[in-house]
Amino acid sequence: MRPPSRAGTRTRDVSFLVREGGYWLVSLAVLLAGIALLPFVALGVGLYAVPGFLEILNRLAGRAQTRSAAFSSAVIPFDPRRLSGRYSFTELAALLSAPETKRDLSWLLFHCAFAVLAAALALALPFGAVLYVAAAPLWQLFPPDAPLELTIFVRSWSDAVLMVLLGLGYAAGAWVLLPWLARRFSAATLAILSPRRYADLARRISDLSAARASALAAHAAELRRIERELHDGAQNRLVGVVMMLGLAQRAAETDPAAAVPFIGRAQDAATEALAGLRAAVHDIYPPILDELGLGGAASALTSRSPIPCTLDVDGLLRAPAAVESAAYFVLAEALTNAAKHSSASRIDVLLRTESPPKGDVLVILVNDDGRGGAKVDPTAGAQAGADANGSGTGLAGIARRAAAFGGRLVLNSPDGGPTNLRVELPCAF
Amino acid sequence: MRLLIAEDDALLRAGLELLLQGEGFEVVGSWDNADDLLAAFTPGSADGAVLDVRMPPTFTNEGLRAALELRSRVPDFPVLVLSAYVEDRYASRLLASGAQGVGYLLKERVGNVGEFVDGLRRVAAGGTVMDPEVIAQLFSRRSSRDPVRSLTPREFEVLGLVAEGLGNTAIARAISVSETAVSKHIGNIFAKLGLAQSDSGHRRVLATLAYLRS
Repeated sequence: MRPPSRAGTRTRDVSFLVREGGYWLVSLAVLLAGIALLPFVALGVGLYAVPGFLEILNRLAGRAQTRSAAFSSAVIPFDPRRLSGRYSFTELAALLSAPETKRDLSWLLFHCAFAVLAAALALALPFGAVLYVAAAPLWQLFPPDAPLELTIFVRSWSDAVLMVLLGLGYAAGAWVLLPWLARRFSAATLAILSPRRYADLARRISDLSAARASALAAHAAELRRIERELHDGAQNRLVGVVMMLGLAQRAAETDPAAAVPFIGRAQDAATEALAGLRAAVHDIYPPILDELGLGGAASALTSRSPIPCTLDVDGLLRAPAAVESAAYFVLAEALTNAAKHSSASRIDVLLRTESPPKGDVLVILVNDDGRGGAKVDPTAGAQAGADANGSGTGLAGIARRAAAFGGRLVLNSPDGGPTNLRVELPCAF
Repeated sequence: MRLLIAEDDALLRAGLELLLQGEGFEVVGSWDNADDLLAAFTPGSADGAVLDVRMPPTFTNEGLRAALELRSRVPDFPVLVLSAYVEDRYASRLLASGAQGVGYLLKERVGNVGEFVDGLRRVAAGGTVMDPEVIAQLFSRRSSRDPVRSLTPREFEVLGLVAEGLGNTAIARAISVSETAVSKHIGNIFAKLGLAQSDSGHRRVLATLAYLRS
């Protein structure tokens, strides 16, 4: 875009100041209304009009803020006050002494005092310049008994030259002064109306509290998931080991040979317990993530996939360790699932960071050209290490992981394929 | 003796069936969740049930609730509840349903087949079997001013065995002392806890646990 010409920016300055002059009438009316209200407030009956008055004042201030922000190309959040409703006396007192009320009232006084002056200057300087420069050379057209009156009576060419020079002075003054005035006026408006620092801090604190609560919730969900994985996996398998050894011992009392099959089963259960433990430990934080980051770790996963697999991580940003760890698990599980059940000939994996208004989201897309028909089985237990009897268990694990982070799993897998799996994990709490 | 089993882990369920059948029990039904067991249960069809606490759908305390439901349908129906960890409130809830024919054991106790089966038989016969861990947990909760704290380590041990439902002879065998010494210990325990002495092993457990969970 071409930057506006010097004359263009000055037109804009003048029109801003003149517009403020127009709104000055409204400000004045509101100020007068406020003053008229004061005796009634002092008597008590006027108190009921206070919230309405403050709301109108607030809207007016909000408009002024928007105009100045547009003029200065600044982005200012404006939170309108909602003041309708009934108030007790103490609530009204609190309302009157609220920082927003003071802010809006300061602005009103400022606007009433200066907007009209600024607008008058913005109109008078250019108008005077044009008038003096254009009219002074025409002094001979006026009759001697009613001469042209500018600052002085113009009766000679020397008077005329003086007035043209004065007009040029006005023009120079307008050229230099008006942009400065417009900038100062806009800056002062924004400074008066900008949210006070503590209001800003209060908002940030409430944002952070919400973020902290959701981070804690995600953490708790993650702990529950790990607990369940350990309980259903290693813990139960070890009970199995103990049980089989008990049976072996019992059998050995009568027939040592009969104990052998139980010992074999105990060994199998112990091996499964180890596999489950290994998986659980790895799930808590895969070491490869530290080494290579999510992109590198994902490429290690896709290169291990028995089905040819493409990987695109171009739009991927760094995310908190817990989120990357969850994403890694989701991808590993999705690839395992596809390898086991899809009969696909190719898998496309895409990892990227999307930025909807509410903060970054890590998105994992796994698409295969297999036979489809994948379903999430919500009742499936996380049988770590044990072979699941369908794709549902792995997908349920993925859904649980995503849910733990406030994310979700979207699965599109019609019978006959293809299967599109999309998992969204919010990064910023 | 006819038993019902509810255990969601397939390997453990199969192992339990094998173990119990090997020890002469008849397993008349086994399920991987509590609801199906409750649906299939008719009074008189079985003499007892072995239940895992944590089962689908919520994986919290389905087994415990099923045990209570069974006992509300058939008062004092013998139930043995197995759990991966002990929670003394579960024990209290079981005992609140009547202390006859209740058992609560850690899952790994099945490894000691002899003791496990003895415990199950005691429960089926109307006895009470509490895991030593439950007792330990109840003790650790006690404040220092509690009379339980005044027990000697030996008396403590004896009280644990009493709570498990053992009679004096069995306790004497378990800790290798004379039966006279055991009854002396028990007399001391009850004196320190301010309980009237009684001959019934079953009522001793009741009194002990009622006191402990107060």
